[in-house]
Amino acid sequence: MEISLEHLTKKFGNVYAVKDLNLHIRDGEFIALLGPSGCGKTTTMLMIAGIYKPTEGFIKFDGKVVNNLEPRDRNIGMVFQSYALYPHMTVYENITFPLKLKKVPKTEMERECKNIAQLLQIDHLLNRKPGELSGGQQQRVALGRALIKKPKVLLFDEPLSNLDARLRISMRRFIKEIQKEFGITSIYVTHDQEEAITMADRIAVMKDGVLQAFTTPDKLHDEPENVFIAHFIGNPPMNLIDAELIEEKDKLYLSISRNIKVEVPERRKPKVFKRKVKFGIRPYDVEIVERGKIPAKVLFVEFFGKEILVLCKVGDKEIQVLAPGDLLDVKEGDNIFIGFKESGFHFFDPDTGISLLKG
Amino acid sequence: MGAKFFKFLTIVFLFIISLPIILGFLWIFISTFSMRTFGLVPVDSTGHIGGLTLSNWKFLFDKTVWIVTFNTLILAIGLTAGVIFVSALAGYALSRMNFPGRKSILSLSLMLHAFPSVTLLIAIYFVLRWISKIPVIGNGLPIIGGFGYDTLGGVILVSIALQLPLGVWLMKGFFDNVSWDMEMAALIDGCSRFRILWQIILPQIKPGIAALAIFSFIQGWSSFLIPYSFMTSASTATVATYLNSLLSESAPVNYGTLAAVGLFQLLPVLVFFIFTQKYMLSIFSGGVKGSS
Repeated sequence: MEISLEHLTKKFGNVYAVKDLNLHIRDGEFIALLGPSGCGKTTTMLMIAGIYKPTEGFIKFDGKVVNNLEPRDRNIGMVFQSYALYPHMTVYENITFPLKLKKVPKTEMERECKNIAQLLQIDHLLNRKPGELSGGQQQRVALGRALIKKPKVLLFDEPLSNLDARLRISMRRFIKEIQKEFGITSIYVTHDQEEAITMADRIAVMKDGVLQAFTTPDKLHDEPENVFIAHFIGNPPMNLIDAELIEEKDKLYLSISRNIKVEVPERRKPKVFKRKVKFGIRPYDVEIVERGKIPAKVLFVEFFGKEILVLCKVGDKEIQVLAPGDLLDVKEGDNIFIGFKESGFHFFDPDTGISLLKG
Repeated sequence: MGAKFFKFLTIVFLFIISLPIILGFLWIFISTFSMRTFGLVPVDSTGHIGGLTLSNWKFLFDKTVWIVTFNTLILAIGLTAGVIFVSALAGYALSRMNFPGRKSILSLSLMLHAFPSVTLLIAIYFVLRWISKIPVIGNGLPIIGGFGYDTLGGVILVSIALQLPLGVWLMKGFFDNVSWDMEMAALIDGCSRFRILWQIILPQIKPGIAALAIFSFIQGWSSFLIPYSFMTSASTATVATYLNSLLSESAPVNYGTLAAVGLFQLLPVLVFFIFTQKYMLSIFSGGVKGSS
């Protein structure tokens, strides 16, 4: 099922929850709606589900406008953050509920349920009530209930937020595998950029109801369109520093602070010259070197396992550096030198936040 | 050390406070088996201690009291069913739907609840008399007699109306505690709105409904003012009004029989209450906790 959102807008009173959203999702694609709380991603999803009615704009399934179609006629399955299972029914009754409402014969219901339950590894739990299951098991029951009617669209509303970290990682993989196997167009709402990056084919980043970008994870990471995306994607977050560009002879120099000047590599020169810029560089694109142009003083060291996150002061600015863990002799108060990897230079307009590396 | 002593003190204090109530119950119980009493001591007609008798319980063999009990049962059940039905539907709409006048309905009904029903008696009298004039539903229905004046149906109607503010607010509160997610999931699964209410939401608040039902039932069973004001015939009396008629019937008052009938009315409520205390408390703890 292809899904098209055209000029989709949702207002609650005078507040715009979603503003002029345009999105085209291909059949079988797994896309993520990513953004901080309140950015409009859940509202968008609920409009696609038919629970909210759009204020303006159109939602099209395979080219057909479905704005006024009831949720139950949209052939969708949805998995909620709170699982939303029916606590007074058994797991079996929960999963087969959609089929029961469609008046599917009992034998067929039993067969479908058995298949799904085996796939989700919950077939030994069919007679239990949701209250007797763990979070992960409940989530799989919810997934089963969504999948059993063989929907054309799968909607996920932060389904893994209530699970512990380890379980989250394995469920992520599980959901992605199932989606791939069934080939159902899926929309996954999350505020966790790591989840979005690992699972989605394309990610729609939203902020304050407005779409920031809709592209593949690697493009979002390597070529962020604006400061918001640059800071939101990638962990640890990108360093964003107010800096100045200086043209000297043929070369372009970046000045982070008084007396600290670094040459900007040719292929990372901004397309538009501005004297004041927002310079961005990811912590893993900064290296600690023996001798270099940029002196820094270590303020704080965080242990990350095989890496360490070093917060250091460069002139009057602060920069975070993700360094290999075997540099464990770096400690607070040390004076070190850092260098910037060539591919790591990002420049943004200091007022609009838009990337200066694109045309 | 101090905690135990404090606990002991609390129990003693509570005992002293409950003493009047306990003594009251004790008196009723003893009275039903004595001809007369001096305080708590049973005496016979000449003033000597003794005089234990079962004659006060003779009324149980008389048809009247059973007719009266039947009427009271109809009243209590009618009130409970009516309150639950209307409160559930109204509470759901007020909890889930946004419509003009929603806020006013909520605040107005709260005001009505604070209104003393006594002040409305005269107005209700006129309304009921007017309803009596309507054919069939005025006076010609079986069992409840109709909805007009001097009918059980009329009293049930009025009692429901006076109980509704509490009922609607309680139900709305219970519905508010049920998460939206479950309804959204049910909508996507294919339920109609009514089916969601009946099959998904109501089972979540069963304890709450039970509490309201018990509350209403007890209210209806012991209801006095409304039946007394609006039902004058002997055939439509309830236990409360029957009890009252015993008081004014003959002088001197036979306190023994009075106490016996009183105990007769009290026992079902007492027993009921003891077994359903747990549910009643849920109203005061602010609704029902979901299970997932």
